[in-house]
Amino acid sequence: MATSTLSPSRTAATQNQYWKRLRKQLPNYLFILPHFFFFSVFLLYPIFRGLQISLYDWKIMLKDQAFIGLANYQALLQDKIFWQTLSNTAYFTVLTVIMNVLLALFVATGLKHPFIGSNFLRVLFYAPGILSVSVLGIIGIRVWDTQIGILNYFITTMLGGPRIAWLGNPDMVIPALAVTTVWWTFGFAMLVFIAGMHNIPEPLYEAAKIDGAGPLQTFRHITLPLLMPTMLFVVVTQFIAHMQVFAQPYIITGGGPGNASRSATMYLYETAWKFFRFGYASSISVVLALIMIVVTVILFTLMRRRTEY
Amino acid sequence: MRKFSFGLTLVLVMALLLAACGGGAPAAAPAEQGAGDAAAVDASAPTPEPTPVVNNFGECSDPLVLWHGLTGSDGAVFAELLQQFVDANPDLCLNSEGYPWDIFFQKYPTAVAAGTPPDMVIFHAAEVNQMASEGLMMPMDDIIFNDGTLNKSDFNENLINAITVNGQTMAVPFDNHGWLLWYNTKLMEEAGLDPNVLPKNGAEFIEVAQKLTKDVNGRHPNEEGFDKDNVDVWAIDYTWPRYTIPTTLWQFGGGVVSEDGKTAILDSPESIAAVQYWHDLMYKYYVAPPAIPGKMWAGDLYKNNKLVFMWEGTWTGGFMRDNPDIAAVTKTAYINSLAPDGKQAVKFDSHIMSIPTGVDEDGIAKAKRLMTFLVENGAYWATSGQVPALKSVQALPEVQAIESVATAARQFNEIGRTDLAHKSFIEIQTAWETAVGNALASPTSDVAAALKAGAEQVQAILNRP
Repeated sequence: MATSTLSPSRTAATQNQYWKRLRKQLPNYLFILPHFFFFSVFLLYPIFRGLQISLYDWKIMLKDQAFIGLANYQALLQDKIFWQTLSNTAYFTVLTVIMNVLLALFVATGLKHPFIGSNFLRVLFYAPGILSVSVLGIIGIRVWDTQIGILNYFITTMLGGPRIAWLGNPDMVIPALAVTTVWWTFGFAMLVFIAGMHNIPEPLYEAAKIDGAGPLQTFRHITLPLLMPTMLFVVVTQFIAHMQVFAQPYIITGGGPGNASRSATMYLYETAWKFFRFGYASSISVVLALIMIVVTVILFTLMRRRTEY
Repeated sequence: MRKFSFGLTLVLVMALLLAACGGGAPAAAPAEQGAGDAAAVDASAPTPEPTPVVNNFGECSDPLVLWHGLTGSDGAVFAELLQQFVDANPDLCLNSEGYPWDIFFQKYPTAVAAGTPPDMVIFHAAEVNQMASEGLMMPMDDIIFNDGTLNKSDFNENLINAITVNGQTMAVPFDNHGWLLWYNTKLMEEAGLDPNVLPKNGAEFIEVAQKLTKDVNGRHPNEEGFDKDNVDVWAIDYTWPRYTIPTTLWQFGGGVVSEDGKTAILDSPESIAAVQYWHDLMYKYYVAPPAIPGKMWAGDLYKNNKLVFMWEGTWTGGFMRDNPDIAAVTKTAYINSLAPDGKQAVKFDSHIMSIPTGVDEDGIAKAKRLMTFLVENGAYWATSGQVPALKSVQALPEVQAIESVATAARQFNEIGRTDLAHKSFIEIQTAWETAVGNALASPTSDVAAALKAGAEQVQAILNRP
């Protein structure tokens, strides 16, 4: 068995060094301490508490909760509504992220170089993003409403077409919500893409031009590859944000028709605060978190292969 | 690689943290309307809800704290009642906080769990079983009934049964409210129909409805060239499913759950026929607007003379008061039967008053005084359109003078039914509402399949221990 053979003077020196280092690092720890405190109280603790509650049949007024192990997770596997809401959410997320990225990329390419009015257009495209989601919901209702919506007004009165039940048709309701969300959020992605494009060295474009590359080739072989780190950031943050979609369906459709636009977080909220099934709701949140983590890792892995730093 | 690892870690932490937020708080209130809201029509038609209404009545150091959801047009009458209470009881003061119902049901359990409940709450009879099962309410027998302060037999018997859990009466009814038929006599006369002769069954109703419905060119649904996309006057509207569907199901002999509370019967032949009837009204006969999210509120159609029969709440009395022109051509009647055999039934509910678990003796005493006052002064509450809870108050001349209230009172006592009390009531309600929403979503919806799926879900809830 190995034992320490350090002399007393050497031990004192080591301790001295340790305290010296601690004294030097202490201000750093003190700086992060306030944040760490609130982070722990309001985020870390709830995360672990949520994990714990998911293992119980949690009743709000009971002091001794009934431990049920993984029963909530087993029930979740057989819960058709959960899978439907998860599928709705995934569909909404995929649609929104794809439309957001394509539109933002397109607009950012157009607005990359300054021209008269380019700053105005940047502000204009970003402006919807400063609206609160409740305002977005009310606008959404006014646009998509079958009877009094502005879209159907144009379709019926100007084009002579039929009234379309945008929010009443299970096949159209999620695309309608996705389009509404894209209008609201693509400005942020656009700004990030513009910033990313400005980081690409200009000589690369000049060299490509000298070699006879056209705008499309330049975009494909220079802009897109060098924009991959930005793309990764945009896709991952958009994915995480849209997987948690709540207020748009909550305000605009109430999750209907039927469950056609009910999102997973909406179901989670209802399970906890309407049905008082807090344990089950916690298991939904844990599963959602796991899904987001797994998909994020997959996105990272896939996109990293195409990333040029 | 280090950059990548750092980035990956960062994103993982972000994912966990964002997921922990679980979608966050709602930015606005949900679709569903409280039974006391004047605008309560269509659960699938979300409207922005008001922010909490906080009012103080009287001045004292230790007010009676009351939470409720009476934020609609009846809220104004309720505020007047509270003022009358503090005027009559100068030793008491009141802090009244009105919330949209979804916010109310978040605050109520958390406040009780935290040991800081209000002294008194008002919500609906239908939700009593669930709240009582969660341990959020005090039994009221020893507080207000057993000492003779209030007499249980003076309330609607069905209602008392609905708020009795394990043999204990958990609340005090404040009113009876529910569906009533409001109809436009002018439009009936214009269509050549006698407003005093109403259809008695489903077949008769379709015949009448086709005469009443007309498009912008004046054509009826059973005529060549009828433009279903540009209807000028509708015969009926599919109003708040929470009341319309149970009413129709019971008329047809169906329901959501069997009487013993053990079996889902949403997919019984009778229930399917009831929902199919509404589907036909919308998509086969074109006499009712399609039940789609965001559809126009029936009240807006009605006040513009574009709707003849409106199944709406007793609280529509306030709406009529605000719209005297349309009120002048409006009559009320029992909800008309849509069933083939003309069987009558109607759903009603009640705003009930209760004391949350954990309220101290002083709070209980104050709450008891307010409850007694509100019940005994139900005649004033009737001016909001709601039916007073006590039958003896219903019989008062000033209550009988309000036509809609008198009709509704008779109707609820004769053919009124309440929802089945169950500890998972709200979840069951959400399940059937979703199923019916699916059934009526489009002309091609398979009603039977949608109701079967809903029944399976309801049964799964009933099967839970």
